[in-house]
Amino acid sequence: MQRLVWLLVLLSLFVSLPAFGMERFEIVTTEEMRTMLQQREEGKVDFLLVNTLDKLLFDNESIPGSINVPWASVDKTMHRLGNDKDHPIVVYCKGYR
Amino acid sequence: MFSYKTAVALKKHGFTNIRIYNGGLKDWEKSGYEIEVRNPLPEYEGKYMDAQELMTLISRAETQGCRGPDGNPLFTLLDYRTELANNSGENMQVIKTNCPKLIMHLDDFADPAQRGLIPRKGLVVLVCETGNRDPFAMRYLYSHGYDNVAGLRFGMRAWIKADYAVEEYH
Repeated sequence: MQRLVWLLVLLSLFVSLPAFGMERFEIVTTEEMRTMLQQREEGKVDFLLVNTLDKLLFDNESIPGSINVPWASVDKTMHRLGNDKDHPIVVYCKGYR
Repeated sequence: MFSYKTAVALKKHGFTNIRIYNGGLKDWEKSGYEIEVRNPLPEYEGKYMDAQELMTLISRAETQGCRGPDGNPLFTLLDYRTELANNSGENMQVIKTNCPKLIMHLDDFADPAQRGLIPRKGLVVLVCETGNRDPFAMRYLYSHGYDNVAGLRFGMRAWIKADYAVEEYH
């Protein structure tokens, strides 16, 4: 009986672990962001800066040079990113803190 | 949170080169860098209630059939959590009440037909994920004449932490 319980526990872990799988993305710091935007202005780099907040919030405040692809409507607004799916993208929102 | 979830969604759609500016607007502004304002929200000091106050309000309203003597709702919950409005959160939990409840996106507030569903009588209590968007939601609604709105402090997170009643939303 005890063996069966352990087997069930192991089986439930195996089934549930993928649900906790987290995608990992490279993080950009504030100074890096500032430098990247300066370099973009100078034509040295190219990337899309994407504000992921609702449009009401994007209109109220955003980092200059951003486009808006709200998480709430990614499917409808994703076309704003163009067709090149390898083009560098930096996404941001209000911030973690 | 929004940036991470958008990044995940874009990756699922085949975008391969995504990075996250983790500090976001808060760090950008704190560092003194320029902010672009396209359509500013009016200044407005909204009202807030904590989870316990909302629980008391719900209990009292439910004993009165959720309506005042004039027939107007005593309060309405306006839950604008994105995953809930997208219906992308399977079996999401919402605050349990028999009183009126509206579910929509924040950007739906800009649609006159959707906004028209928000009552102008009785208290409207905003529920979002963490309460972070409530000040902006209240400022927007105030710009359309709503001064009967309050935010649930720390949002649904506070309600769940207090272990108050929830029900599944399908």
